[in-house]
Amino acid sequence: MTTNGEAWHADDQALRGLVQGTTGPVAAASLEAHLMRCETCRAQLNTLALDDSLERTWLLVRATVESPEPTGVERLLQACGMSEETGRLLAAVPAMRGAWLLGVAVVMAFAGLAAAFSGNLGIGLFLLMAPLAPVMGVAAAFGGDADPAQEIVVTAPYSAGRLLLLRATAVLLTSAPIAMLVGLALPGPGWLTIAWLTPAAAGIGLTLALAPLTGLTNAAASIGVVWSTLTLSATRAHDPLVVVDSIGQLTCLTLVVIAAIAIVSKSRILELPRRQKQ
Amino acid sequence: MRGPELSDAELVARMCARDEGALRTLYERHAGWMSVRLLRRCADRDVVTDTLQDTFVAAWNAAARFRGEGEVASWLWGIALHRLISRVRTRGPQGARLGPALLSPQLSDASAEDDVLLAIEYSDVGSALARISPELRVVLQATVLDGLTTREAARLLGIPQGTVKTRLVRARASMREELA
Repeated sequence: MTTNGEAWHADDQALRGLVQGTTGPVAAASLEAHLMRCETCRAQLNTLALDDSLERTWLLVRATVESPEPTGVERLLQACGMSEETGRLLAAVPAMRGAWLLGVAVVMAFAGLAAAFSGNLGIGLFLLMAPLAPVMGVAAAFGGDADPAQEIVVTAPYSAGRLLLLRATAVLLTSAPIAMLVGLALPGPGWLTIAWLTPAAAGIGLTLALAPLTGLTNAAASIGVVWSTLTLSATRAHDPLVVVDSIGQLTCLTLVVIAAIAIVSKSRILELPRRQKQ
Repeated sequence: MRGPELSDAELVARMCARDEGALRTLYERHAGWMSVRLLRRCADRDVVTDTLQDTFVAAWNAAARFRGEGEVASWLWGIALHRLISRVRTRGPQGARLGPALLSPQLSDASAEDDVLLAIEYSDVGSALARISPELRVVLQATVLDGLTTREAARLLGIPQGTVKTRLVRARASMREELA
């Protein structure tokens, strides 16, 4: 009878003693044991223990529960020692998302297939696509409309330069391995696997350097057109590898340096107003 | 039992479907008495508040793991007790003050009129428990009444696990002596 929680209830005085901490140890232990089985006494104790701090705690619980769960990519980046904020900014880079990776993989796979059937044309296609994929990725990562995290990026208390490097690295890290894998499978010379990296770097650098003048998307598009023309005409002349021979590599390296200087000097100008406060 | 109102178990089931209203109702039903019990074990309100927050966030995330065996109240209390231990532990030794349940210095601070309902207070066991030293009683409270392992009790009380064990042995011996 006394254990079913219905026949017997603690009175207010006993419960109040529990709230105030004046009840003796044995009495308190017995009361606490009863509470676990008795809904009525719990409800009664709730009314006696009511205070503002419970409502504040609830707001904290709700805030925690409502904050979005980190995605798989974010958790992976955090596991690699990245801060939560950096992880979120990176995970929001379009190149980090499945659709983008799938697109790059499919295009590269087609280039690989084409190379398997008709040597030069396939190599030409590979050389056309491999450097352009990261360039387009960077354009998408900084391209305003195409970037769903644009507003976060604009308001993030990050130096523009650091953010730029961070996100460009993310793009390269996701695009480069796919292109390298396809390059390995191609019939051409072994160095083809990495030969496209310098044109890619030059493309990214020029895109970022030209962006303030022409807009990011336009810069990426013009570079795409120039690069396509070069590789396609080289392919038509039966040697697509010309675009990545030693002269091509040197030209690209020079462009990388020029672009880097342009970007660094520009970002210094961009950040000057922020640093005046120091 | 409670008419159209949902039972605790039904609320937990709804929490699995990410129903925030269910969590709110569960909080209203259980946060109050849980904070009273937590404050009896830890006198720092900040720690108790953090523990309460941890507990309901954990319950929200682990709602799917509640299999409907036993009472939701016991399930929540189990979470709360373990959260309290880890909160006290992260504060470091002497970081959190223990509450009256674990610190009662007076042998019997309960007056007779408080405890009509608690016949055990005056039973053999009750008087024996009241006569043993507070250090030993605290260990009994944490292990026997709260159901903690010696390791958990050691963390909560901020004393080495070996000390908990020896005190537990001494407490049992004292109780046996008192009851003989």
